[in-house]
Amino acid sequence: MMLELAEQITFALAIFVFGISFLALARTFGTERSVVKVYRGLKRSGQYRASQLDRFLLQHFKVYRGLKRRGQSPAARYFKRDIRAKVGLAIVLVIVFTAIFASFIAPHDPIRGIADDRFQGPSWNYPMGTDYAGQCIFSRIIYGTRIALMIGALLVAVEVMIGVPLGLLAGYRGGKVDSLIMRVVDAVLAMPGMIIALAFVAIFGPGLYKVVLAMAVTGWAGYARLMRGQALAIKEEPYIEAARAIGEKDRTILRRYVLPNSMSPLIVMVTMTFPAAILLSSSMSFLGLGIMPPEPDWGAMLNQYSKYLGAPMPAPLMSIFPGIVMIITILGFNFLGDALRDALDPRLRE
Amino acid sequence: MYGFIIRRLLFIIPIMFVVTIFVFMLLPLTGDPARQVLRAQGVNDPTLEQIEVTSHRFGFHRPLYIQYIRWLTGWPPADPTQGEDASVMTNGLLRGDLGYSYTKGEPVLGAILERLPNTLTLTIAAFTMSLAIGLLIGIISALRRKTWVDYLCMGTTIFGVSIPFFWLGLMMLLIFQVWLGWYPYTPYGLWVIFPAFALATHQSASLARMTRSSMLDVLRQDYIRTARAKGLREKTVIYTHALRNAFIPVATLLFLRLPFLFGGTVIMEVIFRWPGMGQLLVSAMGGGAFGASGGAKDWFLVQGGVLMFLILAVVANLLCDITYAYLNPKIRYGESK
Repeated sequence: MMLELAEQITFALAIFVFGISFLALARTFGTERSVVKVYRGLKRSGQYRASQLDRFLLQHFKVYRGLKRRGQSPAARYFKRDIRAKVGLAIVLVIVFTAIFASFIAPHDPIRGIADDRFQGPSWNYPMGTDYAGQCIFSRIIYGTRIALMIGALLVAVEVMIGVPLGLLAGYRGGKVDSLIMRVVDAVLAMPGMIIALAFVAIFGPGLYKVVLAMAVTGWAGYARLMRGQALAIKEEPYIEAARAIGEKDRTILRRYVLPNSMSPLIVMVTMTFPAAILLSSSMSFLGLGIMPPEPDWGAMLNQYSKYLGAPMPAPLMSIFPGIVMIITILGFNFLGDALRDALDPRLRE
Repeated sequence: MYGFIIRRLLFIIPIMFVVTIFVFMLLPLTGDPARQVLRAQGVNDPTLEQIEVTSHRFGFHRPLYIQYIRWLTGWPPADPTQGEDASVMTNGLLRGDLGYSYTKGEPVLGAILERLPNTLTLTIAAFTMSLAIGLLIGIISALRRKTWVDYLCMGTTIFGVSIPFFWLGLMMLLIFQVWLGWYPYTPYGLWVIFPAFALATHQSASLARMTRSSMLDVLRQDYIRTARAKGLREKTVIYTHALRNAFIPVATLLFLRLPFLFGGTVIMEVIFRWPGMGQLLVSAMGGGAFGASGGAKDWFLVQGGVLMFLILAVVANLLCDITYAYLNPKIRYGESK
């Protein structure tokens, strides 16, 4: 399958979102480590008096005390020890790898089937068998990772762009702005997102971008609620007062002080959005109101294959494989999200 | 408490206003309502004249705000001199007229109300099931923390959260209908257990995880230590002191997941051929499982179905808020806000 230009751009964007997420993750884990590095560098250079070094340490004292032992933040240490983190990260990396190199991994064309090879069981040539059109199910599933990741990444991008600024604004400003935004958020959260998304797809027609937008109509509210809570808590910190005292504008305070400090719950939520997006979009495609066949979307595949549940034996197998792959993918993201949440939230660490 | 309920009831008015606008806009947003209505009637290639006549018959030629007011209240009445036909128009939601479904051949409201009890049965069954299973697993694994029981329960729940429930439904259909031949093609009554179970796995798994962490949180608190220190029996400590407090965050999650339950109901109805509103809604949108998709869209039925689901969601949310206030004394005595 040749990707169209628009899809190529989207795919690049998806990889970009992934990169950003990993960078943000590395930063969250790594800031404390870098403090120690800088401190050691300063000390070694021998240009600074002890009192200057003390002042530097004092600024970062809380951080430093926690990592004297191994020069690594407690969060990172916890994360590395967590078996769920290893498994989750491995699965997610395999999925991303598969998506990038789908055209090299897939043994057959995902869309053009061979009419003579219809309804075959698993074999060396077709690892998961073939479907009603003689398409290789394994290849279709491989290409399906692209669609799943694209949907996840695009949905994250759209929801973060809408939800995060609104939530930060509500929490930081408080008062009327807050109650107005939160009323809307509460109302949106009370609505069944899938039914509204289905209605939007029914109006504007099927397709990847429309599905993502339809899901984002209600999905942004979760981000807004999360960021509002963060902004409410961070607003009271002394460094925000200091920033205000030196005359920073509200917008700058939100961007430079509040947002970076609420990064860890945001990362967890982004990780958790991926499985939710895959689940919701494939449900919609399964109902024929999402991504349409012959696109190799997992939900759309199940929509077609479920027709043959009652057929003789190799045919029901078609419906089993996409589901198993979906379970593994969603499980990977869930593991990763759980491990991240436990590592980044000291309250949950035992 | 009563003040809270009244404030909460008043909040429904703006929400319902937005909901009705959204539902009304479903048809105009398609860009060409007359063509859509004709397609539902089976006319795939209408002439310009047909479109003109139809849009006058249904009143689509009027400005949107008049259409909305008419859709909501039935006023202004149909004007025969402009070719408007009262017998086909939606003569006011408040009067109980949601229009006529051409694919079903009956009034929309009747078709929906006929299937409403089935949908409610499925939703309530799934809700009860997930509540029972979720709380049980969550409490057990919190009390037996770091034993094999806990690991088994938590291992199961993370799988439960990760299984796409429509696929689980398909597998249940494969096993219980195709292979064992138990589940009938026209299900009724107690067969609701099958779709409800498939729907409840996801819910109860996330509920169990939440219950566990919330329970663990509470068990660490000082008042639990106090309760134990003053010599209360373990049972009393768990049931009267820990569980009640642990339930508050669980209730929050439960209410946040409710809308998701309605979405799941739609899918389960389609898969298990459960004759509810969801099945009606999906087929009216031109979708369907088992390879059926791309049918004609019956917009009056879509409007009616979406409206009914949104009303259900609003009502469920209201009930939940009241229960929540009842559980949480901070809200009951008006401390919050």
